[in-house]
Amino acid sequence: MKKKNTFKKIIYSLLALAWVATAVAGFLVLRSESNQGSSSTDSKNLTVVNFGYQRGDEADIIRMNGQFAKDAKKLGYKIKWTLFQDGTSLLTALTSNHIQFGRTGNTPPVVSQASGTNVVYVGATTSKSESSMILVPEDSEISSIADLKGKTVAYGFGTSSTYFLIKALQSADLTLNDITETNLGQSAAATAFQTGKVDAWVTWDPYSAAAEIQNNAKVLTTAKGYSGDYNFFLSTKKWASKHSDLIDLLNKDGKIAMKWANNNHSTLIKTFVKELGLDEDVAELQVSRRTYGMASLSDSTIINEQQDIADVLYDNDMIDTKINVKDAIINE
Amino acid sequence: MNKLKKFIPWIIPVLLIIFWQLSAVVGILDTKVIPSPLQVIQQGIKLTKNGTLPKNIAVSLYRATLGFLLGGSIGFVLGMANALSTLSRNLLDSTIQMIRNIPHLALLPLFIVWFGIGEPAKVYLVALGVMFPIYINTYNGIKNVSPDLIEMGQLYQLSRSKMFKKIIFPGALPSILVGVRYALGVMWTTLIVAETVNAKSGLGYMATDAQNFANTKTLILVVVMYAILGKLSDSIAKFLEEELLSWQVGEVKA
Repeated sequence: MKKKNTFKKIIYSLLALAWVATAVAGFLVLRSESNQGSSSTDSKNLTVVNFGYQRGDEADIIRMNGQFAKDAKKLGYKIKWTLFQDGTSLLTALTSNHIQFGRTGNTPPVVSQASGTNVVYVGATTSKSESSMILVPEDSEISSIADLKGKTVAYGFGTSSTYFLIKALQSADLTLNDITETNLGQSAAATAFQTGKVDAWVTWDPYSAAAEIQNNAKVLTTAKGYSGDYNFFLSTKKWASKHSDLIDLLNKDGKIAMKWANNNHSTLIKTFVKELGLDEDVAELQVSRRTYGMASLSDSTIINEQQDIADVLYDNDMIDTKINVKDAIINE
Repeated sequence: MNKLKKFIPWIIPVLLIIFWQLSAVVGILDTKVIPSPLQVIQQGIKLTKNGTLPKNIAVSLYRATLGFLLGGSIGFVLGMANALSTLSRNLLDSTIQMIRNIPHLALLPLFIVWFGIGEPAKVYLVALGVMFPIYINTYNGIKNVSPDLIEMGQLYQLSRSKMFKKIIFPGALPSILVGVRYALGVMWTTLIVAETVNAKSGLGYMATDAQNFANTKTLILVVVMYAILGKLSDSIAKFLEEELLSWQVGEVKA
């Protein structure tokens, strides 16, 4: 009995030791991660700028391209890229001054401005309306937007799908009250769609590309004609007003990065396959139907659409303040 | 017979996995929606070979351990203070009870505002989660120390520190260790929430990332890793319990 206990003691001590050793290894991994790229001595007197991005977005492309970070260094800035899983937490970090730049879709900045934050637009991208769509299952009898009446439609409340769906329904004289809305995140919605629990799904690439390829989903309509579905680079009023040089650079080098992305589809596909874990044909479809580009914030089409989003969300009681989007634009 | 008994706890998990694999093979389970165990194991081997899985486990273990130590110490000290001092209890207990019931997911935006998006925010969230079970069990443990033993200590005119070392702490230890075991579970569940914000590594990051891109193989793999790590940490705590409380058994036998 005694002997067995000693044996057990040794095993568990070893386990505890392995635990501590692994934790120490984790600490070392984190330390080397945070030191990455900042080993050079001249980076000490640079202003650190935290840039929030989401996987596979335009900011991610600017990060991969590298030109922006390189040029920013000449202006005295060190760009530190921080990854976010969704636009909402990115905006929380931005408006509480933990990051200085970030990229989101068209709805988070409207919601944020309506809640009284100091968020400002510092850049815009060209329309991605052909990468956002309403999907129905392969054998669905729904063939027009009017057919959605009385059906269950899945989308993420407060995402860019909200405005797109309202606008699309409007075109068939329907409102959200005529359908059964289901608030689902992307992965939950994908599963619900695959297993036939919902009749339609409003989503965007790469989720739509995956559903089309893996489940033979049919595209009921893209966002074209309903929503320009622009993406935006955001900052805070105070920070942006003091660093217009970096904002100008972002818009300038952003163009270079977008052009690079359009000309290097194979690199982009490879990166998406590796970093996003997408299947190759899904990444291919996603990249092939998207043209990346930077747009100007003085383009009235973009601003008018943002204003319309704000008004539509207000009319649908999704935000409780009427806002003027122009108040949140930094003049280039 | 004794040897056979050892396998009883494993019957249900093993049967579940066999059933899972069979339903995938037969085709009841659409492996596009939920992968089969074999696919999960293959994914595990793949991610171990390229270093992703070990790296993320190590990072999570570091955050978990640090958060556990921090939250555990605070919970222990608060539990002691509130059990031993009425003033402290009146001042702090209601506040602690109120904070205790707030879901961690709801606290996440506040943690971003207060502590930012770096490592401290993640460790603090784990610490907060771990704090409560340790606090409550320390408090209850001390409160429930047999009054007879305390009276005996007073009769022997033990000093305050001796009283604590010889009577109060050992008396409260079983309860505290139950708190530790419970807290170890909370530690993992809180960590998965903490690692959704600005993390580039860790099991929680792996899970959210896999979820975002409908990578179910990795998602299920992470779930299994959580289960294994949870069981492992519980086993270590249980062993600690047996070791530290062996005097109890002796006492009963005598």
